[in-house]
Amino acid sequence: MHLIINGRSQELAAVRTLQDVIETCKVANAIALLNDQVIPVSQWANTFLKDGDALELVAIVGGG
Amino acid sequence: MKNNDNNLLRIADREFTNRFFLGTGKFRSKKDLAAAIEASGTQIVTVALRRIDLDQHEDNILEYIPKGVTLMVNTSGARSADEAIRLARLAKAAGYNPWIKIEVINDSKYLLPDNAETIKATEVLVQEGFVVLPYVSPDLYVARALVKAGAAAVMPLGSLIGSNQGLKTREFIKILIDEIELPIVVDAGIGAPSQAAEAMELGADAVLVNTAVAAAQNPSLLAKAFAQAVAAGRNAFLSGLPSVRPLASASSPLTGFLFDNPVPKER
Repeated sequence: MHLIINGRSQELAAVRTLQDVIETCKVANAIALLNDQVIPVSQWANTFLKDGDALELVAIVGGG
Repeated sequence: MKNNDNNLLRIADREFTNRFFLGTGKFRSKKDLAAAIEASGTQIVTVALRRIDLDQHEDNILEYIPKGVTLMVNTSGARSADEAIRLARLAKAAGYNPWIKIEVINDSKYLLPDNAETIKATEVLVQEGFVVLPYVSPDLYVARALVKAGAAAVMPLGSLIGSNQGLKTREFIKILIDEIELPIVVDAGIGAPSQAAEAMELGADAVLVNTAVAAAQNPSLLAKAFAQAVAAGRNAFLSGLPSVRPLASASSPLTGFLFDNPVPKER
């Protein structure tokens, strides 16, 4: 599936849901946005993706 | 500032017994951060939001911040009110505490905040139920606009972010302390505990430090020193410091000296 993740075009094989992408990228702590909408963790397994979807995987990091 | 007769700091619906706030950026290790939080006893820390670097695994910083500490997400990275608003909404949608430090910066040389955009973002986010702590250059009109917009505090900079230059804006912070009813949290450029104490002696309600602690050789020791300095400065402010005098004023009476009118020696 062709996805745009954090602004970068990616081809990910064998992903159907947002949960699949999270596991493939190993980002269990992410805040995930699909086409600009925050998807709660509880919905990840139910969120089916399609070609061309834009994902933002964001985290809380150190800051002043 | 005027909401406190005692040592409890009230911001929005929370109370703090420690007026030292800590930023979590730039620490060499997350263990250093955890140690600094513990050593200082800070009750509120700032964090930022960034895209995850998918090529590198990073520890989750939240694992190093104890549960009872108030998390304040900042809008660093925002170059406009719109971007700050989007970041704040993202944090809220993700389930984080709706306490937001608005930081709108459009210049990488000085990292000075855009006061006008900060006011706009404050107006919108307060309406959406956020507890907003805006980071600004100290300016009386800007501070009044923030009060009007419903900000929970005002965070004027002491000097440039990360510069350790200290309280360069001292006189302008004093104006805000005297004229603005909201808590005044001095944020940015505080490079040493003596500078934090100075801010608190002036009447500031709290001080936020990041770079100085993170960059110290011994972050937890410096974090402790900062917390001590902030407490000392606050006590000094509450104690009513005596005024500066142009001339000397003796500590003991100028009479009754032992060597006046000595007993004559026997011949």
